[in-house]
Amino acid sequence: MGSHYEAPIRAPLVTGNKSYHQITVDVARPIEGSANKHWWIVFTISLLLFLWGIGCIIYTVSTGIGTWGLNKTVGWAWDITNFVWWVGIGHAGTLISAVLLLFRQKWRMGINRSAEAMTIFSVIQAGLFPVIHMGRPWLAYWIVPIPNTFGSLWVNFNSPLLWDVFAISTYLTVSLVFWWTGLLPDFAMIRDRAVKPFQKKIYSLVSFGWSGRAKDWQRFEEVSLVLAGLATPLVLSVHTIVSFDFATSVIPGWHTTIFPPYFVAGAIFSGFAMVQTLLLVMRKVCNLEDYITLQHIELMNIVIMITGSIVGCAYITELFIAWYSGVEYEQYAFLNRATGPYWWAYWAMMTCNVFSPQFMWFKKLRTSITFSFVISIVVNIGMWFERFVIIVTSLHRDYLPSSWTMFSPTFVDIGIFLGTIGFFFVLFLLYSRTFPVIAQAEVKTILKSSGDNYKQIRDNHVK
Amino acid sequence: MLNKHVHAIYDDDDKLLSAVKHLRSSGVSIKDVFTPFPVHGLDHALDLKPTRIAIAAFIYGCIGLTTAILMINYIMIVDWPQNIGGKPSFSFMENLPAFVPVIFELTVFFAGHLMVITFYVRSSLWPFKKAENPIPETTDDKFLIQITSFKDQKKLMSIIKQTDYHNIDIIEHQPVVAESNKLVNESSQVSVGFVFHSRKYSNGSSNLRIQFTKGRGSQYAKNTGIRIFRKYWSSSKNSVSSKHPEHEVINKKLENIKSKIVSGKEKFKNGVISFEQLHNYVLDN
Repeated sequence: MGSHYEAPIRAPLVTGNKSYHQITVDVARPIEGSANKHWWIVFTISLLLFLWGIGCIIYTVSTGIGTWGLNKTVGWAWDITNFVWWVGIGHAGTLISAVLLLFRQKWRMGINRSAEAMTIFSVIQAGLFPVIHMGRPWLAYWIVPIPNTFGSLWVNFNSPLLWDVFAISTYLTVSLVFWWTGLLPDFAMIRDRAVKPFQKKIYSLVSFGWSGRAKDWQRFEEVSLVLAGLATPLVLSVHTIVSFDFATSVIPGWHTTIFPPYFVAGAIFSGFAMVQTLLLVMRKVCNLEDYITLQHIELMNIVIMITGSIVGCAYITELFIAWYSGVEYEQYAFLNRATGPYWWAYWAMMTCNVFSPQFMWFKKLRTSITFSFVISIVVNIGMWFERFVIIVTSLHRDYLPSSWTMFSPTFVDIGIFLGTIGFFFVLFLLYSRTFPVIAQAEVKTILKSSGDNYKQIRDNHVK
Repeated sequence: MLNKHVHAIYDDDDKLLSAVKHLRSSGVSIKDVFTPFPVHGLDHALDLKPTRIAIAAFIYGCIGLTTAILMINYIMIVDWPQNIGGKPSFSFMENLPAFVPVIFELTVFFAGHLMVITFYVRSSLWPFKKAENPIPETTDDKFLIQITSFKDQKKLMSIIKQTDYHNIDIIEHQPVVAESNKLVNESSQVSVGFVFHSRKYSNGSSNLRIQFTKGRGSQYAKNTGIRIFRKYWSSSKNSVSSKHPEHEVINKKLENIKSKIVSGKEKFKNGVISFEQLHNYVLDN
């Protein structure tokens, strides 16, 4: 027992008197059981949204980008807003699995699998927008460094948009192998329990023949650690580079040095909010309250509160620097944001992102499931508005007042956005029925140190 | 020659760890240990060499870094230098700051992916790979020590029995052949014997099969429909030991099969039935 010691002051991370076998059973249950009515209802709605989105994408590609609400002043609007929003959401997964692994935070084990799944699914949504916005998506391979057919005209490595290509694709693929490597032992567990031949075949295929040898585990742990070490700067670099899309330009309101840390904090903020939204539902539907406990929810709320406060500081810093710079274009850009025709978007952003997370200072509120759920949705709305404010309000009144204009989305803009939300939930719902949603092998390693029954035994021993 | 494996099964990681230490100090050589999750201290208890995969990752990262630098230098400086935004690309060093993001991403890309590929290759993990854990419970809550080379089975058993074990399995890999296990040169010669199916059911029992061998090349096996625990099988008598609760019924069935084998072989010799049809005759009840 000595090696499993954990300070008694720490609340248990696994409750409900679990044994190793019970963990297996609990994690396998949603996969081995059949879906209930609610799952089918939500799945159908998501699928319809997804299909609607596909329709809008087909319309856009076949007719042209003119089907969107863009004009010659506002050449970037919902597409890039949605892109940055989805990439931001995709930051929590790798943060939880990589950064919290390096910090040896055991509470990540209950939530990392779903957070990583969410990361991958949302980065897929993000990747759709630049490809569609190309107008001719069949030429998307032009972003790879290959010479054109006439000679050696290459992609431009000075361009932040190309940096994005490398950052997002590295992030997506490295997150994917990180996720999959962690899944191997859990898929193997499902495989070895499967009774239906088809199920057995599929899980044998995806578990890559994982057998759980001592040497395999030794390598597995080393690979996880090194991948975490690689993914930590990676996750910080991705949103840094996304912010460079704006920060390296000469548009007032975009050309600010605070963007990288401000974007990264915002990304973690929105990512955690989305993890919170999904897990609050999932723990209920899949009966995982013993693994995603109130303590997990509270800790995520604290991360939301801290990153929300960092984002709030960044907003205020931006305002201060705009005034302090003495550049009148910069000053006007921010005055226009707060008091111009898009004031409602600015104040929606301020309310949702700066004020709402401050409620989490109260223990009663941050341990309330309903309140956490509401705030998590509010934060995601706020973070969408943040990107909208940064992008559209900086563009719509540019240097030349004669070209000042407004942006309003068409049904195609809205349709594609809703389509990606549908696609995201289709993927996540399918995931929740076919994948082990808790990293059960990892949870088993902390059962003896953080399981309530084992902690109880130790406490009795001390007394 | 019998090739016996001993599987000592435990239901707890701490019991496993002390058992591994005990077995090793008693001079038992452990082939492998299968566990459902990483057991801390197991690699030290087994004296596993530390893995060098992190060093490999560092080298892969260096390869990625070099590749990125060479590629960008060739594309942006050597092959087609351009004046972008008043910043002409005539030298790599002066343009380096703009190249840092891609260089960093490619370093991570190479290190991450090549390390994972190395891991998959070294631990032989790939799609369509067959799992090798001897019992399926080792991915759930059982811990298994596999011992393949030992001289004295009794001594080994007594050592294992000193540990807090859950179960011990003895696996016989070579077919337990009924008769004429001698080397046969004539390809027309047929030998028939009893073997156990290599897979076990979750309760530990396995299917008893009949293996038909012609010459040295063709061989196939068919289930007898009898499913028993291996410990009840007597390979010298080719029958079930009297400890089995239903040994009379099963042995009667086996007697029937054995007589069919003898007459079936005779029929094959006389050319009445082919090798492929033999199993129909033997197992036709």
